[in-house]
Amino acid sequence: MTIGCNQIVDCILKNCANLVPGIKDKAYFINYEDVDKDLSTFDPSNSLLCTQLVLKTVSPPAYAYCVEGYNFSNEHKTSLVKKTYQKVWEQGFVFRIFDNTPETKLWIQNAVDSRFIIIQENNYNKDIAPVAAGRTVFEILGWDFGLELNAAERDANSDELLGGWLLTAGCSDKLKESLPPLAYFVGGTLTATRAALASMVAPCCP
Amino acid sequence: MLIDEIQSFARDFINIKSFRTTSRKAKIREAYKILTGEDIKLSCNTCYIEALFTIINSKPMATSKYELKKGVLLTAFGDASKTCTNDTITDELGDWYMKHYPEKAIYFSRLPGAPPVPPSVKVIPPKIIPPVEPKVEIISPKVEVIPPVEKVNQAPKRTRKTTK
Repeated sequence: MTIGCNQIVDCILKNCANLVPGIKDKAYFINYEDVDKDLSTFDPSNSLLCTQLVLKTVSPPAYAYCVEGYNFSNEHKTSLVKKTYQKVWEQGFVFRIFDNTPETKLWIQNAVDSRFIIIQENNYNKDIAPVAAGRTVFEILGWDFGLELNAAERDANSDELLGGWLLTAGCSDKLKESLPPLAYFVGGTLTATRAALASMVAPCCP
Repeated sequence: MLIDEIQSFARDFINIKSFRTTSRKAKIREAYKILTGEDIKLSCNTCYIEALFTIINSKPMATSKYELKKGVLLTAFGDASKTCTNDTITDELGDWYMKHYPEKAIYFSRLPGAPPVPPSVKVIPPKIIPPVEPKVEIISPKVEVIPPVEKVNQAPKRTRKTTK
């Protein structure tokens, strides 16, 4: 974001679509280093619309790893952070793991030591002609720097999580994202977007 | 699908001890049982690695000439039948794209004719050094003209005087 270089050039009209809050229980985590930013593309008139996200060809192969919550246990929040001279964006993702196996803990420990981008699926799908449906469904968090795990907590006596894990991913303390979460919409349709996403999902993801 | 999953963690399973989790071992045992009908000894780590190679080698090599990078969706303007991802691309579609949109080759991780390049390996083209014609220099022998030595009037040789 660069202050003074952008101007408002359009109107916001009343939205007659049924606005649905919340995100789906399944989110996709991609290691930050695995994203091929050179081949990923954006809408030429809107840098907040990612039209293709490509993974690098590396070994071991890069994947989008899914994390499944339960009963709307995933949460997302974006907020503007005003700095002295510039304004940036905090992008947060709270998720819960209802398990405590050694594999779960290893996953968490690996996440603690890494940076990742997250693709989340909104419940809200604006479907009003003439604009193509599906543009509000998928969003990419942490495009600039990747997110990191900022908090991990397990309360063995929790009556909410029943001994599961509460994890909070977000931006670094100082380096925040320059833009709000990006919309992810490939090929002009939601079906094509799902197909593109499916082509990078790990085999362990059902 | 099970073999794909095993393949995804095989490298780490072999190299990193912490990746040898019980759930992964269970998957290897399951796949090995399906393939060979035999069981793996639970306490034998080497047996798991040997079984892993058996499982990986059992998977037939991909027959498609083309492989798209993960996340790529190829589209042709005005023709939805040409839309494809790596899961749906065929040899015919790949040939069609290479004929009509050769610039999309950057989205392929495998192309026919291209030598198989292991991922993350940068291929440095060999430097071609143009042949240099040997320079022939004719070295003419230097003839030094030695100036004639002028005879200098030398002092007469001293001779011993004979004693009388």
